[in-house]
Amino acid sequence: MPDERIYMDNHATTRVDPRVVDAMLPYFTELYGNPGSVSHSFGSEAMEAVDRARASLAAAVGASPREIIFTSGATESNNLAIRGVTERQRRRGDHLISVVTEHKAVLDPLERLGRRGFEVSLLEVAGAGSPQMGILDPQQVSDAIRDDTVLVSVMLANNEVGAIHPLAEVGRICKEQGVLLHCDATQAVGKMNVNVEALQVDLMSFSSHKLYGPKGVGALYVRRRQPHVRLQSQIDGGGQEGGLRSGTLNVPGIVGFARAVELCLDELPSERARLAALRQRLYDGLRNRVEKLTLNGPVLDPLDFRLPGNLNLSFADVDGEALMMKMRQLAVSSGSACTSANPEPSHVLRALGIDEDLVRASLRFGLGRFNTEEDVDVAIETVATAVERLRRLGQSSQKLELASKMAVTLSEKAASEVKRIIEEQKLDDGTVLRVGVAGGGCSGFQYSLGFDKEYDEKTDAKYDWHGVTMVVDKKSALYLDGTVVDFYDGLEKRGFTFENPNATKSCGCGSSFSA
Amino acid sequence: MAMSLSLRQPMRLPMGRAALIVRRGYHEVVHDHFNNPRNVGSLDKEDSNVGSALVGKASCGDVIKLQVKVKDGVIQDAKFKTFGCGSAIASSSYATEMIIGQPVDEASKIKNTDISAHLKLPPVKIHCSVLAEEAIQAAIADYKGKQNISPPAE
Repeated sequence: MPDERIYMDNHATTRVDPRVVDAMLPYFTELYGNPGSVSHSFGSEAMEAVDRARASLAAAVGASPREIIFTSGATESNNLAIRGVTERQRRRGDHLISVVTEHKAVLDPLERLGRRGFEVSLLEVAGAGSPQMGILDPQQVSDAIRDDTVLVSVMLANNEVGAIHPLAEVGRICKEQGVLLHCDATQAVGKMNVNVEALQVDLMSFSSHKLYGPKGVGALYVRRRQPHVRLQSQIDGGGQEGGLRSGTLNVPGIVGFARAVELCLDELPSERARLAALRQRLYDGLRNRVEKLTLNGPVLDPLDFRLPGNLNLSFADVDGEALMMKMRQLAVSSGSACTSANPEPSHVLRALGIDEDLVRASLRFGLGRFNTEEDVDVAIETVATAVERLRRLGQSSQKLELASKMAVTLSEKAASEVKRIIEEQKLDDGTVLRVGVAGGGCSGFQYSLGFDKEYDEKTDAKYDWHGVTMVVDKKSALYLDGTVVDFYDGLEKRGFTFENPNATKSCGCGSSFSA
Repeated sequence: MAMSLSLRQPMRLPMGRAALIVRRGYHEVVHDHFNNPRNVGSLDKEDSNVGSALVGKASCGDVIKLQVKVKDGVIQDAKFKTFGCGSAIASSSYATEMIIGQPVDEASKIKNTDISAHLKLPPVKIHCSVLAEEAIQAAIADYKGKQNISPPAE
């Protein structure tokens, strides 16, 4: 039976190119030696293959062969880079800089270091509404660097929205300040020109299975000249890879990895144009067929803002998981909470300031080498039909109806404080207190409190508490049911507090929570 | 004593025949209700024999609207509309199927475990069946309110 499924999840992983498999095959059954066995020809044959692969990969990213360390993949490379640098260079300081939209393979090692006494600054990116949505402003890096900054880690291309950060500019800033720069280039290598000298990066992670090579093999570029970057190894044993990464080399994987990169670079100019055209066809087709659709991430044109195969869209009033269940022949992914092992909705889309409902309604399309125009046409039809059917099943307008039943209380103490402020600042009689939640903060959501002159009974829930008119927009009300806004006047702290029974976790600062 | 080293029990993987019908972690029953939802729609909210419920959870953002129509103490009809993930839709579909034809007092005894056990929901999706149970309770309470039937003493 022919496989009628369509694979459009090429940011997750890719099909291995048959030409890559051909290159790998001899290294399983004929040239199976251990490159560490220097004393016989089985070993030296394998070593030669690894050397050739290393030279080829190094050339592909503008490095010298000695600067390439083979690992099991980009996650290991990221861990080796971040932990390796911080464990070696602790004398300089305890400050690390990265970006909120990084992959978990960067954020989680940083978080662990944060618990061990390092201070981690996560930079924001351009938010919803900007044509550069998801892209980092390099000035932010410049502002964040301090005397005790040890390492800056910025990805080249984002895995969810395809945003391409201006790494060369970040590299120039880091060089000027004498701070090491690590770059997670997992989604970028093979899809665009990547050169470690042009980008001025000191460490760079990349992986084979994102570029039509086998899984289980990746590399870390470690600069050896100006400056010579020193790392603490994380896996010790046989002393392979200059002692930085012990373990028998994955020879077939490494050979396949190098072949995969070569193929990508050979076909790069034509493939970029082809993928961009396919993506435009997909976007246009969906826009024609589906109402209430929004683009997440940077604009599609110019091409240097975004990976050519990436399209991330939100379909209002549907749930991403339900949408994917309706399209079992089409493999894509979603920022919705329920689609992966991780029960949290996409931290990347949240960081872009995208409305919570639209985060859960998002789909990520990752077009790749083996996708055709026919695939795109089938995908348009499949998605449009599924969205239509789900929208008939339940409207989110019900959510607004439900929200008007939600109770948010203002305590008497808080009310008198509000009245005092209104009087003190001589605000107009019609002034109302506006309470809400927005994405952001250390636990996902942030409370907001302020004065407003206008409100709309259609979109706002209105409450009268002790002579104060309080309004809550209905979307926020859903997350605030049962919340009591109180005022605390103590020795250490004075201010408004939120007691929210919906919060499953809140952070020390008290201004953000997860529901 | 080697066992004591593992603090967390690994999730048991579906075995044998069961593995064939489990896709994306859901049992085929969920897919069936999801793809062919029973009793989608609305009943007349103003009808004194109709009880309506609208329930939701902030934690997952799912919303279920469920209505029952009662005659002679028996649920004659039930309709739902759900905004949410696959198991929320399946839970509400199955809930309507369960309660149609049941006496009101029987239906109000339905527990979320009755729903989750039938749909074989994974642990992370149990809250969807809880929401469906709440919807049944709320719809019946709304109907009783309209009929001025006070709830039985505890």
